[in-house]
Amino acid sequence: MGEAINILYVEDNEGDVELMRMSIERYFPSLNVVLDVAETVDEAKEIFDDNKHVIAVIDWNLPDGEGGDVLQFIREVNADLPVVMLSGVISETSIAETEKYEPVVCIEKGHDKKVIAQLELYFSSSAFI
Amino acid sequence: MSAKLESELAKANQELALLKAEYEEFVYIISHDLSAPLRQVQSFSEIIANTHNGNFDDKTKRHFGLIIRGATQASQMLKAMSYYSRLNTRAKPFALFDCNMSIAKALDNLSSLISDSGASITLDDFPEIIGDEEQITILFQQLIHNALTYQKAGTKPIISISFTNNVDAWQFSIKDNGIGVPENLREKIFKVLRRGVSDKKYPGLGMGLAYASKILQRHRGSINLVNSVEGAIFTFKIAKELPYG
Repeated sequence: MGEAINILYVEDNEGDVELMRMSIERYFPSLNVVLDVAETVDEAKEIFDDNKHVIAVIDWNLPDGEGGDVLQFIREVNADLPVVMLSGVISETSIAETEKYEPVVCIEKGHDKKVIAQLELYFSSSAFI
Repeated sequence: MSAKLESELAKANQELALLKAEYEEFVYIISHDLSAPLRQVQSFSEIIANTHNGNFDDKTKRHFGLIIRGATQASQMLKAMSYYSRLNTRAKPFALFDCNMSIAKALDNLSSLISDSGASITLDDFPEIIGDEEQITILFQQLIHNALTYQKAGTKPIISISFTNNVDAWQFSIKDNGIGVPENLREKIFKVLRRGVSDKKYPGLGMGLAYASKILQRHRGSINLVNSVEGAIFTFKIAKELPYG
């Protein structure tokens, strides 16, 4: 295993977290990917570490707010961190609200290759792969 | 009214009736037809998990747990959505009733929660109002339930329910000493299936305040939330002049 690739994953659904872990294990078996999971906006703000996390994957609907609140918080600290926004259903309104904080991409949930492809893209450009 | 206007009104009413029928059919499909496959996922997963539990490793057991919980949650959501829809489609005509009786019923339905939590509840003497008594009982029940539930651990709920006689509307307030609601969630919590807290800390679906809003919409009313120094105050209005009888 190489150096740890720390991802901030903000998601309150236990099943989605499990599926993400399994997808990462399946598609990046040789990488040492560590998911730091936050279930709420407050928790995400607490555990986000600009010196540690190299990418953030954020669900739109969170119990105590919106994924956009986390994105806004991250952007205040780091303008360039790659951020993938996820949602069960993406609406134009939520995209418009979030775009001003410049996420890398907004993707509808589904544990197919879409999210993984984004991670892959990032890992390749950062020479993890 | 001119013949042209009458014809346009009749056409609009016809379209409205069609839309209403379509909406009811849609809700039926969502709540009935979708619940069957969900029930199968839930039931057969439970059967497999119970019958073959010994053969599964921990990871597989956890995955079965997630399948069962997910299907159960989806079924509960469907039931809640169906109930939400019926607040409009199967509503009863308005009548004059004693609001004290309605609140007493709501408190009776919550009696175990009230005694378990050691809550103290103070009440005004409420007026007779016009409305759907069953729905107004549900409204009080949901709001009192929230006041009892969203409390810091170890705190005994202190709730007061009062009313003001305004010119056009009865204004009710339910004040608690609970955890309150963050400023940024004050609108979101009234939406269907939206909550202001984590499921793990406070289990629930996020429908109580959506029911309340829907009921008040039918009673030409409104609901607001104000955070007090300690806890929350939900204030809602019910129009005085409603057609009944």
